[in-house]
Amino acid sequence: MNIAASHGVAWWLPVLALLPLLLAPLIGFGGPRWGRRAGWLLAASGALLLIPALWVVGQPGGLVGLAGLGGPGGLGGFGGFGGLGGEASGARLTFELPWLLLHVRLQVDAASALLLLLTALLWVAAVAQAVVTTAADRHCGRFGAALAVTLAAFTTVVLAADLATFYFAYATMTLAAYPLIIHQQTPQAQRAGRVYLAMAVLAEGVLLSAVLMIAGAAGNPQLSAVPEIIAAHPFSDWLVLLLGVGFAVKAGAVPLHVWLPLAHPAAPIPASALLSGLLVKAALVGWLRLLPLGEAVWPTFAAAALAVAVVTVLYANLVGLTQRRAKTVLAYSTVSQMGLLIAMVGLAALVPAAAPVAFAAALLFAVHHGLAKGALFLSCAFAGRRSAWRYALLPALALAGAPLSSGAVAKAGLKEVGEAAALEALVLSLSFASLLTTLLMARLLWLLYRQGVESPQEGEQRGGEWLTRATVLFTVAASLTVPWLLAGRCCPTLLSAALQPSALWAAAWPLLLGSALVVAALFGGYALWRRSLKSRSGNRGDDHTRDRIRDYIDSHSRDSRGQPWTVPEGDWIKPALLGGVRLARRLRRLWRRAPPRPPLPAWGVVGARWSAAIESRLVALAMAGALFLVLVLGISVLGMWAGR
Amino acid sequence: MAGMEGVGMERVMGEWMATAGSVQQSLYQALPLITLIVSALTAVIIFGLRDHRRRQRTFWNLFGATIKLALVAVMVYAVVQGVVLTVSWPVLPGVTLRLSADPLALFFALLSAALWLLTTLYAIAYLENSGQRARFFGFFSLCVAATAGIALAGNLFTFFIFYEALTLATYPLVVHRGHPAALAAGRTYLRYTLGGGALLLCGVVGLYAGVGDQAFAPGGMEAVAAWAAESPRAATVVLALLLAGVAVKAALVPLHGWLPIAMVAPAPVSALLHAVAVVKAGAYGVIRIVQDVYGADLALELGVTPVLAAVAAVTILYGSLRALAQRDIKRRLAFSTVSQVSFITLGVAMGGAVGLVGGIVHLVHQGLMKITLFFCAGNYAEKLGIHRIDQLNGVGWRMPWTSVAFTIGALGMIGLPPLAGFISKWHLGLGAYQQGWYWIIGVLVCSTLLNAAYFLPVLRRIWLLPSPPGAPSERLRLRGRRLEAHPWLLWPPLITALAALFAGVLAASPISPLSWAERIVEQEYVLP
Repeated sequence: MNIAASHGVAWWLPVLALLPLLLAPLIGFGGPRWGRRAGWLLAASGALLLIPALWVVGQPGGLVGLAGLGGPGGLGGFGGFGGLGGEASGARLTFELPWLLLHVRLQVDAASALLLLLTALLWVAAVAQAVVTTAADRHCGRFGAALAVTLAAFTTVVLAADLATFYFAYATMTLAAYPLIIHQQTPQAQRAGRVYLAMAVLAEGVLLSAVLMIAGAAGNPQLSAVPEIIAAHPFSDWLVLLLGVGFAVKAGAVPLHVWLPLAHPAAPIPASALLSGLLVKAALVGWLRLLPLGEAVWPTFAAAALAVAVVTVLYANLVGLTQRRAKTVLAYSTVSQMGLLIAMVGLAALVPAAAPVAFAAALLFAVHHGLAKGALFLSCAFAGRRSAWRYALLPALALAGAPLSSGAVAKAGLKEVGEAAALEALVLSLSFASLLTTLLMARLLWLLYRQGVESPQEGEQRGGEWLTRATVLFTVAASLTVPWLLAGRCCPTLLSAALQPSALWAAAWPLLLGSALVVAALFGGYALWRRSLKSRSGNRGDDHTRDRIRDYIDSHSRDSRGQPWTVPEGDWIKPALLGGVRLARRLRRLWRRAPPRPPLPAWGVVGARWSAAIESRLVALAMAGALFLVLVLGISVLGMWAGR
Repeated sequence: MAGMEGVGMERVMGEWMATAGSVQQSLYQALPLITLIVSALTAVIIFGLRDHRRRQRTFWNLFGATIKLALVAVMVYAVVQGVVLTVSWPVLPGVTLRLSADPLALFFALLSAALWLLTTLYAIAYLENSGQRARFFGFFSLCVAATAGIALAGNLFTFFIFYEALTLATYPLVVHRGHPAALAAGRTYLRYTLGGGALLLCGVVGLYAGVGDQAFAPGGMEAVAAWAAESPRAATVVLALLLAGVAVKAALVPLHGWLPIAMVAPAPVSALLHAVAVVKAGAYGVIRIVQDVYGADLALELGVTPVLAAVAAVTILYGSLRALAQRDIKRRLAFSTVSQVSFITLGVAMGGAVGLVGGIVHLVHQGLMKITLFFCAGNYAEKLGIHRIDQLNGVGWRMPWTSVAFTIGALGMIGLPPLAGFISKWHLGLGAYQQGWYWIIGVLVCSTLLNAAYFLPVLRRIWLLPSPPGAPSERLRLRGRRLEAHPWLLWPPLITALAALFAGVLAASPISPLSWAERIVEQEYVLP
């Protein structure tokens, strides 16, 4: 049992992966008393992730792997990003268990340290909120157990340092998220679960074929060696495409994003926060660790990724604007933000020299987005109150990239990638994306506000009010500070760059323009309303202005059947499924209308007919047959005699 | 005088010791035979007991199973020491019965001995109240004796004898319930397996006519290679006959029809058919014939293994597709077996070290997972009267332990890591890639998707859907005086599920089935 740990702290790695797995049955089967206690233990154990993460961050040169960021100075002395596990990247913790699975190797390097930090913070907040808010649910044990397994699997995805372990954790995570989505067991949730599971399992199949082809060439390799293996592989182009598509479902790339807007509103709030904040980032981990970016140019993949990224950002934002539920808007926002990460991957495939910067920027952005989106989702716990939008305001501003917010520093990182790749267009399109995000966030705040005004649900909140509030405030605070601290630690130049007046202005103008657009739209709508009122009745001086505005908007945003005019959640999947069902029905009807065919005769009957036919022929040849038999007999007797 | 006497005594003692040593030595050498005799004797004793002698029968059953397991364990120890125990004696001029405990034989023998013990426990609890128990347990023991014979067979003739004995010993178990459906299933079973036996007999006779009596040799018999060089057509035909003969029990399409029909048998018999004995005997026969009679290279040269691989691939996909459409739990599991057992054939047919490891290790992995599933299906039927899949809603909270075991088995079948099924699939995929047969990776992926498509909805029903209104107990009961089922019904599936879990989790450790499979393959290939 030769276990190899690089450092005493490395012993935490297997513990961190196993602890939630041990707690899961206790939560699931422990009943209200023990299950709840185990739930609190699970929430607390999230904080343990900070130990290895902070150890690596705290080491001198611990974040060398992220040194790509922060201008040309940061790039110096750093060659080849090589899947983030390359020899060049700073301090690492490694742990090996040769007899487990197919030789399990775990590791914390700069990239996983960042993601672990994100995981720890979101884990503590979301699980604590889950324990409080789902306590009275009938199947809270099942929910908690699934939560524990999902978190353990995600942690292992981040920690894995060999291919088999990575795939194992990824597949487990995919399946374990399913009970989270269907927890509320409404027909909507069941449908969301079905769509999610079907898409995820198909993607899993695509990944499995890629993984088997990589492993066929190299056994169960270190993850850090995989990019080189793929680059030297005879089917490297195919592998890159397979990996790209396989992870794209989890990442929510358009048009494979449809499970996200279905799953998020259906799942309980803490589960949505984890799905959106963490689980979609597993795709990023997969791309960063496996794809051979920075080794060569992959033109097909890069073109596809960049095209998908542009479409994703535009499309998701526009469709999100039409949504009427806060959590759906957030889901589309997640899709659009993942589009930015896909753009980073595409850029790294296009310009190998920019790959290290792109990866570092993508990671920083992932941390920022995970925390901000987690905070936004968790603050949906207050939906139905007048104060809900106030909790969401700061993270929404951060997501839109307001100056001095965590989004500003993350987007400064992305812009640096544009400079490194010599793509000025990227800088401009990032500003445009910020503008769209601003509009989407305005829509979100409006929805939260309106829900609080129109359908107030005071008293709906059960016990543990202050705890829910504490989790939300904790996440908001983390989302505002942690990206700054990280940026300050790994690339101080980036920090100062983000604080330049020009950068401040660059961050501010999309926000201001967006706000101006929103205000203009409001005033425009108001003016139109006044005019239509004037032209209709001339009735003035109505006190119920707010009601009239609402009626007006409602009457102009409904289709001919009186249904609210929106793009359905999960845009194309609903028409596609409906079309499929209709087509199947039509085919079945056609099938039934076809004239009935006579039943096939049984084999026995067929055999009897055949033998009757043969026999009738034989009877006709009876004489010849008898003669033939005699001939055969005679020849054989002769033969036997001659043989003797 | 005294000294003389002392010397004489010493000599006598020495001779005695030597004799004793040689007796001990020959007993040791005869261990394969003794193992067989133990199982057969158990059967004889049980036949002799009256039906109501429950305690005695249980004692002899468990005694026989335990002793056999211990003997197999001793043989495993011997093989680890590098000794291959062999017994052989001539029955006819030119035909010998030969039992040999080589690594592959012990792999199968250990599987069947261990699972026999568990299945016996389960069967005792399951059939407590039915009639004809002496007949049932007698044939049960005979069946396992025949399986041990198949496992330990050292040449093709011995293999054939025990293969046929297995057919005959299983028939009374299939028709045990005695109702018309069972009798019809028994007839179908006999028709298929006796037909297969006849083909196998033709093949064996052809081979003996060609090369005479030869022992199994890893990598193929030299005499067969010489014969095939001389008359390749005859060698091809004989190989095809042999494979067609074992393909019936291995349930390769289109010879699989008996397996789903034999589902009318009681759950322990299904477990025996699917995991311990019958289907496994067919798959084991494929391994022996391709690897140890012809050798993978020769079989590939004769052009038979590509066809075999194609048939196996078709079987994998066809079985999964049919399983998708079944509503009865046991029928779905039966079609799943049709599909899963062909992984073994596929691994053998593709040749190459890694693929062979995948195929051989799946012999054990599939056995562990499928026996778990059948035990659980039996528990559902016995305790809740559930036979169809749409009755499974919310069962997880009524029978949690059984359902946990079922879940592990089903997830393993899908090939979800870290369970045993994933380890098999991983090696099969690697082997396919190294042989350049890329289409097999596609087959593996499709099979994974299909397996997910027919197992995940079942798991969803068990755990996630609400129980039907009026279900007797909604409360979860894990501890306390009343367990969800008789402990002998509960422990076997839990033990096999844990084994399936640990076969995957500890795959890289020296005690795993994977390591043993690698040891088998190393006799012939150099593993990386």
